[in-house]
Amino acid sequence: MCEIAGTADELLASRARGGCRDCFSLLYERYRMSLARYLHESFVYDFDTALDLEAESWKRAFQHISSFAGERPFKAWLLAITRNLALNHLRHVRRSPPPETLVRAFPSNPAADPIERREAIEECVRVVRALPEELREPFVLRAIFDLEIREVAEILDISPTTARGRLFRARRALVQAVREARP
Amino acid sequence: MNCRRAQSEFSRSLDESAAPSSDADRHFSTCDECGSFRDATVAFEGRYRTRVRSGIDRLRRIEPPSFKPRQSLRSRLLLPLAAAVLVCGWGLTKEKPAPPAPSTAAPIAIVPPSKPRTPRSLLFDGVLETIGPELSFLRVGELLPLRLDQEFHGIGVPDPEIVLPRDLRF
Repeated sequence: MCEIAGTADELLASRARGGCRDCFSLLYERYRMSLARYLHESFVYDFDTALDLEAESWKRAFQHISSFAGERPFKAWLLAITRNLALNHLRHVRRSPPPETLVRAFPSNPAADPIERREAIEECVRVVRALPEELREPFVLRAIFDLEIREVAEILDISPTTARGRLFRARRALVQAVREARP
Repeated sequence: MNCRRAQSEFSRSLDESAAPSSDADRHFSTCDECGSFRDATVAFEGRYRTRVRSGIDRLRRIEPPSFKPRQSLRSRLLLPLAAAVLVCGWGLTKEKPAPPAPSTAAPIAIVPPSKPRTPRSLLFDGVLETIGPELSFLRVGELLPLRLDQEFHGIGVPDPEIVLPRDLRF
């Protein structure tokens, strides 16, 4: 293995493009669970599906690593792939919903959700999950990946001004929800 | 400055790691509603971030990562095929009668034929034209093992370096 621990994502991706599988493995280790959690919080409500989509995202990233030009951060590139897959998945599910999807919003039974089982999920996570999709996604991206507004906008395919506005609306809605939840 | 404008500016300052303007600061110091918004936002985001990240760390510990790109259907079919070809070739080679034992008579050198030797086949000749990176370990350019190559072509072209006994008859 080459000396790669602590190397910047973009350099690792560039080496991976040149055929270094260890570099790709390290990127995978860095972002695997964050990606799964992003999918789980933003798009799909059962963690197994989130893991399937996450695995598919890595497969696509591996297949198309040659197209990563290094003009933007690797995580933004990876998130764009992941988001496209998630949206395709949702479109497919909405087109032909299996019976369980029709009744599923966020799981009402914590035992059905491994994240909830493991973490005894807090009110703050529930409140974020209850946000409308267009407000939830930028908020989750900022919280999990610390992305810049410009990067959030690029991933969501919106302008930075819109991204800023959605984050503001998300914050107002969250504060409002927390106030209402308090006795 | 109204409350909405002040809160918007505060939100923007969170996203861009910049201090809000002095106008907004003044507003926050005098407006309870906006002061409460600011405190609640900061506390909530901190709690959410901590919660999600500790969850990610926990998941990492539970499921140790290992990167194994999925094999495509083609590679899953080709690997057994390649193995079958190797096994069949080995079987054919085994059934051939053993060559006669060389005598101790003086050897003769066999003259190499004028016809050029048939080039050796590739192990995955024509099969993996559009190989993906996930199959790179198959080494497309790899030649067939020599004995398999001879079996497939059935040529038996004598090797000029092989020295046979003078009295050997076929």
